Amino acid sequence: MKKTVFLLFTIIFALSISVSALDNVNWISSRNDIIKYETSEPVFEDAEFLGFSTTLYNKTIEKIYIFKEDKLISIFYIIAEDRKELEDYLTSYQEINDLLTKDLGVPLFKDEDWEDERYKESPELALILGDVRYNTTWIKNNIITHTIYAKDLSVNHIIFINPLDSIRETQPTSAENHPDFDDI
Amino acid sequence: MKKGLTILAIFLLTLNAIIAADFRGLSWGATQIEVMKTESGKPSLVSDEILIWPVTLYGFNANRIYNFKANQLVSTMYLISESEDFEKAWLNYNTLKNDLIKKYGKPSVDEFTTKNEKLSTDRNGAYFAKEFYESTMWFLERSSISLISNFDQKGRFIICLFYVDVKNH
Repeated sequence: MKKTVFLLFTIIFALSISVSALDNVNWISSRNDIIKYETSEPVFEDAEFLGFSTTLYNKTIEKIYIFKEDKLISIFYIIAEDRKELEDYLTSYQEINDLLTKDLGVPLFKDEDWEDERYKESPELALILGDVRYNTTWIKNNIITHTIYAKDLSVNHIIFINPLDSIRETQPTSAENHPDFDDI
Repeated sequence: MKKGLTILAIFLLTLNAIIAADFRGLSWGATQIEVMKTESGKPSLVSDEILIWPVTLYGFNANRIYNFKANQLVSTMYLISESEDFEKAWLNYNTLKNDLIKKYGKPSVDEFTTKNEKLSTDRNGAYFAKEFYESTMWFLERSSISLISNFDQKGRFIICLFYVDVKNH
């Protein structure tokens, strides 16, 4: 019995780690903090970017940290997709969506943005042609957006993580008025 | 001398009230020609009662609409329909709203509502759930200004910013 309870706690603890990995981000981290935190060496880096090759939900991903003045402002997970069939892209998107939903709960916003509805009956073709973009957004400690879209016949499958404050901080940083201020 | 300054001050104050600008340097009652002089480019619609220019406003594509009665400007409106960058639209909308507050002061009405009870205190969440309706109003001496936003049936974020001549309504 004791062993079963311990096992249960271990599973719950492991699950809580998977949640925190996506939603618990220390936004005051510097580049050096991230390099210390990550277990592997960056595969590319400059003043504004740090990129690591890693895995998420058993898929190979590029994890990109973005900095402004040495402060972390955004994280991208770029999911590597090398699919044989067109419909595999949407299947992969749905699989990740299901796993994210398990971790983060029901999304607040799930959307299909159709720029052109000519192939609405064939969404996988519409995706590769750039006619449609799928987005799912969770608002938790952070804004987590899972999206898939194509540009120039190349599919981009990305999870964006941004701080909630990026939405809250709506005041222009400059003391000067907005250029359209006189129009309102 | 003192009396002369007082008269000058009263004259300037009166003049200011007479030529007070109600919208983009125009006063209510302006004619269509006077409005056209303040705009650049071609209007997308011209009629006896309506003039429309496609413009950009706070990062949005908008229509700037002037409404006339007997060739006198009585109301104006910005109509915005946003279906592109969802997060950016939220930032732009809040910047617009904050600037309206900066310009016209604390609104007389500022109400956000949502059909989703769980989000009744979560303005950001309601927007991202596309279950967001907001109404903000200023009642000024010469104008009433209303900023109304919600989502249409296609999930597009719709924003209307109305300016109305209170003496003509």
